[in-house]
Amino acid sequence: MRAVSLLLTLTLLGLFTGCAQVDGKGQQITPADTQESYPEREAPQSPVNTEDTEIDSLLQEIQTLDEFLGEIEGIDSIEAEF
Amino acid sequence: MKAMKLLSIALVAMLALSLLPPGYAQPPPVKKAEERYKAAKSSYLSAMEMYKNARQDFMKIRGPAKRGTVPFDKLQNFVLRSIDAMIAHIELVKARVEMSGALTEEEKSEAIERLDTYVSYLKEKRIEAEQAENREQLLKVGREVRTKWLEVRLEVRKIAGRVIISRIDRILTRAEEIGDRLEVRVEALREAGEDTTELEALLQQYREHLSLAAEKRNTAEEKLNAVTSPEDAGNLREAHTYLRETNRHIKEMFVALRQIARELRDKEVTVTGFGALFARGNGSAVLRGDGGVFVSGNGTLTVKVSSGRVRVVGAGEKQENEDGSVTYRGFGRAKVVGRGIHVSVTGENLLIRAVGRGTAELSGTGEWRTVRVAGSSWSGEVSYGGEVNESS
Repeated sequence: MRAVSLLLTLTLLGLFTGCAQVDGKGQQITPADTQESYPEREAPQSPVNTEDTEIDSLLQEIQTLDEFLGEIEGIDSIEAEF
Repeated sequence: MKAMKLLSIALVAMLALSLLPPGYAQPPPVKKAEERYKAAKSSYLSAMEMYKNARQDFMKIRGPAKRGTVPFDKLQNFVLRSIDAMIAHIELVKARVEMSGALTEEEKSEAIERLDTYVSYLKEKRIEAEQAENREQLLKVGREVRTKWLEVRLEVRKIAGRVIISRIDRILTRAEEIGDRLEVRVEALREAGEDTTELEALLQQYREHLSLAAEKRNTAEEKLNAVTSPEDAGNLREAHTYLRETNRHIKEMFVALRQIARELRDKEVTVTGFGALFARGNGSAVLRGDGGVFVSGNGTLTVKVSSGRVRVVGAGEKQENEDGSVTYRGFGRAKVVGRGIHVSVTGENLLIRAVGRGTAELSGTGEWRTVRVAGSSWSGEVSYGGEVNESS
C-alpha cells in the first residue's frame, strides 16, 4: 500500500513537471514567458529591430536561393561518359 | 491483491509516460524535412567526391585520345560511382522540394513521385552494373544510363527551376512589402522636415533591382516552360542564366535595403518626438497622428488624411464616404503619409507600422511594440512619438 502511494505521488509529480517543461509547439517555457498577465513590459529592442529581424530572415532566404542555384549547376558535372 | 498489482503496473507506466515531454513523439514536419536535406547534402558531397576520384582513375588510363583500355574493375567502379552521384543529386533535389515552403503539397508530391521513378530506375541499373560479368555487359548498362541521364538531368533541372522560381516569388513578395514600409518611413521623415535625398535615391535603386529581378524571373519561367524534350536543353541553360540574373538583382536589392535600414535608423533617432509603433494581430485598430502608417492584411480599412497621400494596393471594393474618408473592403496593403492621419482597420492578419507621432487604439488579439514599451495584448490605447499637433 505504501509503495502504491509512493508511486502515485511520483506519477503526479512527473505529470506536473512534464507539462511545465514543454508547451504544445515543443518549445521550452521559462517562468518569465508564462507571466502573460502583465500587459506591458520594457521593449527588449527598438521597433526598428523588428524590421531588422525581417531583413535578416530575407537574407537567409536569399542565401538559400544562392546555394540551391549552385547545387543545380553541379548536375552538369556528372557526365555519363563511359 | 491482484487489483493492487495491476494498479501498480498502471502507475509505473503512467510515471514513465509522464516523464516524456508532450511533443516527444512527433518532431515538426519542417524540422524533419530540414534534417533529411542535411543528410541528403552530406551523402551528395561524399558521392561526388567518390565519383570525381573514380573519374580521375578512369580518365588517366583511357587518356585524352580514348585509346587506353580501362581494366574491368576500374570501369565498373566508375559506372557505379557515376550512378551513385546521379542518385545522390536527385535525392538532394528531392529534399529541396520537400523542404520548400513555396510549393503546394500537390506540387510537391507530383515532383517527388517523378524523382522517385528516376531513382528506382538508376537503382535497378546499379544492380545490373554490379552483377555484370564482362566489359560488354557493363558498357551496355553504361550506355543505357547515359541515355536516361540526359532525360533525367533535364527533368531534374526543370523541377529545381520551379522550386527556385517559387522561392524567388516569396522573396520578391516580401521585398515588395518591406519596400512599401520603408517608403512610408522615408516619406514620414520628409514630412517631418528631414533631408531624405539620399534615402530616396537608395529607395529608387531598391525598386529598380526589385523590378529587374521580377522581369528576369518572368523570362526564366518562359524559357523553362518551353522545355519539352532533351533537344530544348538550350532553353534550359538560358532559363538558368536568367535565374542567376534574377539572383544577382535580388542581391543588389538587398545591399540597398540594408543601407536604407541603417540610414533610417540613424535619422529617426535624431528627430525630436519621432516615434514608431509596430503591431501585429487580429481585431481592430484606430490610428490618429502625423507621419506615416503602413497597414497590411485582410479586412476593412477606412482612411482620411488632412494633408498627405494614400496608396492602397490589393483586391476589393472602394467606397467614398460623406465625411471625406475612403473605405476599402478586402484590402491588401496601404500606405498613408501626411498630417492629420486617421486610419481605422478591422480584420485578420493585420500588420501595422506607424512612424512619426500619434496614438493607436487596439482591440483584439495580438502584440505591439513602441520604442519604449511592448505589449502582448490588443486592448487600450498606445502612444508613439511626441505629442500630436492638434492644429495640423
